[in-house]
Amino acid sequence: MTLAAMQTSAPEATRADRLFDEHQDQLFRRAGRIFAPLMVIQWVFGILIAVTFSPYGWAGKVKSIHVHVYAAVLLGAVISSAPLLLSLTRPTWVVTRHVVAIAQMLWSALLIHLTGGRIETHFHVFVSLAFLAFLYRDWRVLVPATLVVVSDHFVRGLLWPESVYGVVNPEWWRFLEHAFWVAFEDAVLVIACVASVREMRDVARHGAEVEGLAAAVGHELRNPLAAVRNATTYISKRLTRVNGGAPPADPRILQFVELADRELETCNKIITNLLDFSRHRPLSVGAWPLRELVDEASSILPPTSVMVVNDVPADLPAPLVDKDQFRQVLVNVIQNAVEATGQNPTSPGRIVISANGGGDGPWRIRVADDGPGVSREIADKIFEPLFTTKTKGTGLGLAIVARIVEAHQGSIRLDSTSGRGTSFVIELPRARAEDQEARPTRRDAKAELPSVSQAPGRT
Amino acid sequence: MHVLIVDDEDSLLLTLAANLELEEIEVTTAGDGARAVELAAKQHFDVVLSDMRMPGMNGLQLVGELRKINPVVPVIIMTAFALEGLVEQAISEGVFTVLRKPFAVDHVIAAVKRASARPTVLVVHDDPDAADSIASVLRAARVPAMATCDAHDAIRIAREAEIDVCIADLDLRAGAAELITELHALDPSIACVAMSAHRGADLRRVASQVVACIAEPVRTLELLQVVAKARAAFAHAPAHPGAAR
Repeated sequence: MTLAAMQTSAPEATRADRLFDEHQDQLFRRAGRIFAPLMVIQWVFGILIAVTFSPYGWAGKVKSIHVHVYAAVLLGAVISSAPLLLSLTRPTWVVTRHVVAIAQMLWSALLIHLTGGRIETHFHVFVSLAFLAFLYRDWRVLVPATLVVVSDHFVRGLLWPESVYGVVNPEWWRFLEHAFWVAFEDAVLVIACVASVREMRDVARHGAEVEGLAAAVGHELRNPLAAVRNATTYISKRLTRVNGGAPPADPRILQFVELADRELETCNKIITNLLDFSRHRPLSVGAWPLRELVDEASSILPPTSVMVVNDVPADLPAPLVDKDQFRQVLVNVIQNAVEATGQNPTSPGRIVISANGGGDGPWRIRVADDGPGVSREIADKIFEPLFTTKTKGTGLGLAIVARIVEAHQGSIRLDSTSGRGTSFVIELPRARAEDQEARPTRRDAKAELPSVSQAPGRT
Repeated sequence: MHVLIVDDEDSLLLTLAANLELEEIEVTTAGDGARAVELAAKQHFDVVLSDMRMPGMNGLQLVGELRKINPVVPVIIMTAFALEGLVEQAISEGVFTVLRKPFAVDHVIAAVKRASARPTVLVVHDDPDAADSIASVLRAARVPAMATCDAHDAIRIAREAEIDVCIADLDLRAGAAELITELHALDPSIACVAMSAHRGADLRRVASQVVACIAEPVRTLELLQVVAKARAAFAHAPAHPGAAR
């Protein structure tokens, strides 16, 4: 199998598309995290404006709450609820972005109305458009937003001009003037969106090339490595068995065979890292208890003088994770911590793995070491592929960690003070209700027979 | 025991054969699929070890051809490729297990010895229909399997038959953790897989004793993948990693 053949079997184009989609999903999730609270803030803000600008009306001798306050409370809730819900639960859906875009513009309309058509409140329109464009980087969301804002100006300008322009008798074409400035901003934003999507594509293509190369090299090296490993095993077995356990005349022969075996294992680890980095394994999740996973991970680590303490509570709710992949996350992070503390000559080093959360909140897993800590510049790059401060290693371990954690829709960050140790903090999202629900009734729990032939084949 | 090794890399054929011969296993080698089929037609092999990517006939096609000659011969796939459609398809065809190159020689030897015994997968589920249907899916892929709805019966079967993988329902009335503990007391090399009707089921009690957990309703490919993985996991680490501590 040649390198060229390898590359055609894992087309770079699909890799690039996948990387691009992942990046875009990240952006959408981030946008969801920003728009969800914004929807609540705007609602509170709308009520405050209604209360301060038009607190009470007088009907005869009876003081009553102005209709604006009701409008702010009720209309605001109506406008905010759908985008809030979608941003929280379905941040990556197309419909979510459009609903958010429409809601932002409806908020502009409501706020303009509540402030009696103040021209300054119109800035909300422009800020919102910019926000939508920069957070989603999808120019399409500007279409419904623009339609909503223009038609709102047109209709209300005809029926109730004070509420939108603050004057009783504006010119009939006033909405066109507003529409022009909105269109002007739209034009700028569309250009920005298209350019940034093009940049994202370039980044994805580059990433795909690196991945493709890693995969090709990794695979090509495995075959010769397998043969060499077989050969050294045979030699060492022959040497020890044939001589009845007595070492051969030159003691270095056995020593060198063992050395070859060890170094082969190092090669294999490097290749495995390359391949883990270049491939994306689908997740197969189950509710695996963290304490046991940490135990398993630390039992896989090579022997070390550093003390590894598993401080995860035994009764912590179990997060939904892919057992093998998440164990690898723990192995890599703990291994990294072991190597970091090893650099501190004054004390033997201690690593504490703790966790909290689950239930209503996210899980937070902390791997803390008492090593020398890392500087700001290193912390910024530590999850980037091929970045390493060590003389040994591929610089892929933590990049793999970041990728797997992201696949679990979690996040990982670094807490470090130079000289005072480092903590990696992994956050996993709280369990979604549908995952916790029982699948179809137990009596129906049977294997679905004819699914083999339709199983999606990855090539 | 007579093993057929098929690989297009001469160096691998030579070194692997030498290692198996050191264990007093009789070995015949073939440099490609066509030669392997020719050999298999003439003589009986207890286990076939085959590479996946080879010029001409690949490992998957070879499995098909070998099945025509001997439908039950256990085939172990060796591959340098971590994840690919071919491997997935081979697993759907019920190959015994998949070993990733570069493997440890002892790992291959353990897998070959296991495969030659033609072990059975045991499915334990309170609902006899569910247990039967899962076992029949396995048998349809030519993976020998037995089903039972009773934990005592499961222990009896494990005592009498050659069981190497047990798929146990997590909500077993008799207790999945208890059953697995008892099975391991009987034979620590039985690889156990938990099965649950909900993804969120807490695996705390069995986490250190099972190699995987599958969700019901069970998808055929996932089921076969888990069995192949359980078989490879055993060969890889005879001691259960969690139990070691």
